[in-house]
Amino acid sequence: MKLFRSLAARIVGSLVLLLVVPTITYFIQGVSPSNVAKGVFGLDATDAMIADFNHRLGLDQPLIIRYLQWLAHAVTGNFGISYINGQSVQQVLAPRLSVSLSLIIGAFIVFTIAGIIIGVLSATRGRIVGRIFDVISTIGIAVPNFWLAVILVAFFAVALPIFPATGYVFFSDSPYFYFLSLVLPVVALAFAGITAVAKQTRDQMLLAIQSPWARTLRANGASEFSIVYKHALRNAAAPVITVMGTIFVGSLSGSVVVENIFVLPGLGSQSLASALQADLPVVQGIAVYFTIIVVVVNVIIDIATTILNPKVREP
Amino acid sequence: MAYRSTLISPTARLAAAAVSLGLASAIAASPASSATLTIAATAGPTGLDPTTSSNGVPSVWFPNLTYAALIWRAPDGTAQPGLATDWKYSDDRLSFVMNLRDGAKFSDGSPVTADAVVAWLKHYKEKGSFTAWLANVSDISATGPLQVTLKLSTPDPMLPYGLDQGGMAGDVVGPKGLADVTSLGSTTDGAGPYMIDPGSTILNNQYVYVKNPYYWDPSKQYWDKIVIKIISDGNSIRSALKTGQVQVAEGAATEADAATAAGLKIYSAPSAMLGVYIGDIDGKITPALKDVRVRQALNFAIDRKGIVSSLYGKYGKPTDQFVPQGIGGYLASLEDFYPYDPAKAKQLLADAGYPNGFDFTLVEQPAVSSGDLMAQALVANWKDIGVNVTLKPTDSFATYVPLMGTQKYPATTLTFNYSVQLTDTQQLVTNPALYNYMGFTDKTADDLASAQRKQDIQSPEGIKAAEASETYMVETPGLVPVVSVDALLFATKDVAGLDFTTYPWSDPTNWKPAQ
Repeated sequence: MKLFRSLAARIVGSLVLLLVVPTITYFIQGVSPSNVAKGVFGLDATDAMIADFNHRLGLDQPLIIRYLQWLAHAVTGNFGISYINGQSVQQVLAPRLSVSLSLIIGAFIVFTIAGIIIGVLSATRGRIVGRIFDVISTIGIAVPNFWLAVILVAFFAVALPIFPATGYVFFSDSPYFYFLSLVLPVVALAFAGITAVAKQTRDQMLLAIQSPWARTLRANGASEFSIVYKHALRNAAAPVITVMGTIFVGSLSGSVVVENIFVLPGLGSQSLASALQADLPVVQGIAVYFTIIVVVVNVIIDIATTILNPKVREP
Repeated sequence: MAYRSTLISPTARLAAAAVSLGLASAIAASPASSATLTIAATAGPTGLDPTTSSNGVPSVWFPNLTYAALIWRAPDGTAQPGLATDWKYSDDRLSFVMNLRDGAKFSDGSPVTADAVVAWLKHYKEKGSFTAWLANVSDISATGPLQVTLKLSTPDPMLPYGLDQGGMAGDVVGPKGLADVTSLGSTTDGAGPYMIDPGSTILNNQYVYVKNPYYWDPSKQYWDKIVIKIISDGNSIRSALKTGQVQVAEGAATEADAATAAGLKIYSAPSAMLGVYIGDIDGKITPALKDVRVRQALNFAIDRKGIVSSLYGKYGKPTDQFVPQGIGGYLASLEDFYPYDPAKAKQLLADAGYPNGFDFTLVEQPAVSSGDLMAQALVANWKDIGVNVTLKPTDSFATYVPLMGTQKYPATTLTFNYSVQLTDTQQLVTNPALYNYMGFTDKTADDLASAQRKQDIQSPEGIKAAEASETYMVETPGLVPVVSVDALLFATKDVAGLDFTTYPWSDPTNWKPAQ
């Protein structure tokens, strides 16, 4: 019961977030000094050309009217048309959503599995291994993903031509090349996450392994394997999952850089290009997509941590 | 595809080999079937519609592939038949008659007619990004099924430039496209050798072009498919070239050594002047700038050689002129007209009544090559003569253009792409002029431009008139030219036909598979 109440509260909060974030984004863009008509027509633009352009796209309306019109359409799933190429925002973003999801979900899987394995091993394999992982963790957090991306390309695409240096292959075109095109970008994006998850896992595992209940289990004859992998790991899971969620959300911003370096047609690279072109409907669409991703991830994390927390599960 | 074999199992390798053999057979059966040219550009277009297309490289690559221009500017700079087979000014130079190619068709299959060209030119005159090309055109009419006549209010020798593939005004859009201009953002309707494949194109990531089945000269369609990938990162461009993912890329001087080391071929030609444009010639914002001695002082204060050597290397050349050698109007005698001489600069400031210097704000135009570093070097040079400059950066043209429109800033850095001297005069110092955002009037500059307009650009008289404008613009400066930079192309050895000159800009319709 408590679980459902908690989830219901979270979902209601998420709906508010879904309204607030795009609203703030809209008004920030609306008051920015960028002028898409002048950007498109350049210095030679006449007042008549700008007026015609603005009228055609409804940009001659007051900001609040434009926002309300946008909102009315957005709730039906219509985010408007791109100022730059005249396509609907959904058309522009649809292929890109799958690319970004492939990248960040791929990175999530990699940093989760690798991070937890490394964290558990470093907590259970003695001091020296633990110290080594500490150092690696620090390096991992310090290494910027754009630098790592360049190094990965230099080694694994140019020196050893194993993976493509740039570009993306859609799964429907070739599953094999799809995976191949994602390997380097996913590693570049996941690396800092691996080290963060590993460190969090190690710290939580050490706390659990050294806790009074673990000592009691050992005194009762429970095997070390059972204590570590059945009891301690479960106890350590909730804070680790919270960190994983934070990293996942952070990887949305990381994807902007990684997508640009690997020339992936994702939402991140599009957000940068559209912001520079003052293509506000597309930027707004991306803000909505990113907000939805963040909301969904947060709800999933809440469900997971609630399930793992016995106090919440009690009626 | 060498990276495949290291990852897959022997069975999969056999399967892959079988697929490869099949592919090889297909290639052998149809030699052109896999001919794809992949190009890297550092920025995507503002749109595919030539009405709003920018000029310069890489912007012109996108419309050049799909929209045949009325006049084709060959790589050697000569004007040759495009959609128009011949053209001529009248004796009084107040009309310009073009005869169109018989049998040419737009990619939607409809014929290129005089009516279609008239509709396009009228549309461009009203809504085009470079509508100034047609500013002196008072009437556009079809004077035959395949003949178009432009009436001029005043002589204008620039029409063959405005109507070529760099000018945009000649990139005729078909009637079907004009009837639905919104569609021109993502589709094309031109009579050029290629047309966009909207299904494979991803905005700001890759633009895929396939053959226009109606193009009048299939022998010039060298590739089955051309892909322009947008790669903004220099490292990524180089990696893509080295691994064969890309065959030609827009290059940067800072990447040239690495490109050479990677075994890539480099093609280059002088392409643009970088420097500072002083809009406040009347001294409305910064009174000091009204005095020509002050503007000369700003020129004498710049260590051009030092800036070029540290920022642009061998692909830059110090300049105080507006056209490079090889373009009519260039004068060797004007080279180093403003040698680095801070003492003389200080003396000129003192003579003008500003012995302690003055302050002004310099807006940084986006997309100037190494523009932030150049601007900082200028600030340092000017500080040495007591002129304190505050830099105001801008991140995009969507921000920059309205900022300049406020008329609150006296000067801006700029990239000015070379074409002919009259373009410089008409876009920089006349009233109106593209850059003249403060609306100043310089009667001498206007008169010199008028004198140029009465002559053919390439005629001896035209060149003499261009030299007069150039001399005036250098000696009575409204700008501070700093460096003449080269445009660069990096390419693998698989592609030929990449040589280009200052104008026209590099054009992918000329690029062909190397023999």
